[in-house]
Amino acid sequence: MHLPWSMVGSFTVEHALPRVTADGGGSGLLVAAVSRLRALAGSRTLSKEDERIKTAIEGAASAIGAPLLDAESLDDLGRRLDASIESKGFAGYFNELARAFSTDGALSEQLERIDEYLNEWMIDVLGEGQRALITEADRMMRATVAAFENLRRTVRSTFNVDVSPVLLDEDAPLGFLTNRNVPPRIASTFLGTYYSNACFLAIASAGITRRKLEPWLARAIAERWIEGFRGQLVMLASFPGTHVAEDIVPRDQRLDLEALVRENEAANTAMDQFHRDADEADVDVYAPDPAR
Amino acid sequence: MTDPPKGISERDAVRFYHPASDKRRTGVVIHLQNEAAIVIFGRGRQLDDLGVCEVVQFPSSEASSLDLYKTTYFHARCVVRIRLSAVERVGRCPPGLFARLRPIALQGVRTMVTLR
Repeated sequence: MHLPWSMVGSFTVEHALPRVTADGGGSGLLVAAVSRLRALAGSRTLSKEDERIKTAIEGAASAIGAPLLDAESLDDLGRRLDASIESKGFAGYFNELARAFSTDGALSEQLERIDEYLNEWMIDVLGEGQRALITEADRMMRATVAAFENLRRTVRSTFNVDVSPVLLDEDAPLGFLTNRNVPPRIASTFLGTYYSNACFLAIASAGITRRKLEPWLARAIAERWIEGFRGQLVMLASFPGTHVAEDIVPRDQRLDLEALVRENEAANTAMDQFHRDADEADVDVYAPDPAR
Repeated sequence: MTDPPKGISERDAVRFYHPASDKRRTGVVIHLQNEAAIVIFGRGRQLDDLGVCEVVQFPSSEASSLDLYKTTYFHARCVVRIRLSAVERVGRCPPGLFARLRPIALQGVRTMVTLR
């Protein structure tokens, strides 16, 4: 039996749990895919599944990641990141990878097999100056996978159910940003993981094409990659039933998710009232604040 | 304007006439309902009594996306509800900026509804 995460447990946030946990927020998916390809380097024959993963990750690295490598400034990198995550193919590539890893446990198994070699490969791509950031990202990734596995086991043992693969909405991959049921803080975290994934694909693209990056760009890409990872882990650590060490996400950094949902409901109630007040005022531009 | 603009959606950048200041303002659509939008709009300077504020620097790619021509300040209390027939679409707000503006706008709406 498969059940969407959002239906599990007493706490339900429509989009949060599936996106953040089901594939490690996408970041785990990408790391797993690149790791698998690294392990297969030199193999003469690939299985159909590996061919599928190879095609998806190379396509994503080229279409989503490569344009970031041409950034000429931080502002330009920001613009390119926005363009990347809004591009038509973004969700499609992720869904292809999610399907490739959809066999129960396939993603976790792959993530467990990641060794130091991947870190060294990333340091080779980004430069020695990013070693500390990459080591930190590796620590967070392992904590994310462990927390996710723990949560999945809890759900399995408690509800005797498994998780459906969560696919991104290819028609509106950023629909959560304007969805009134998604609290802004949670939407920001999702967005951070999207940026993070695009940055990882940029790193993958640089690695595949053996392109050397200027230090400022390597750092900016690495920082954005890790920032999204961290946000995702903070949210994951905030869900009941997960276990993330306090030295990775301190208690005082965790989110009160129920409070976020309550605040969002209050904001939605206020917006509805704002519309009603405007209808009553019957003007083109309703601006009630005396201090405006 | 007489006809409502076609295809206005949340996250669009819009320009409109703001009667209270007698100026054309640029804003971002936060929420749509029927033929009206809740919009957070920008001003040319920061004012402490207008609540928390997000700054969009000029020149920048974010400023270009909103068709801004100077550094612009988006305050919590600079939120209006506008009929779509009164707005002109001028651009599209980048996702990251929208994620920063939306909570500010929601805070402003809550404040203004409470004030009434």
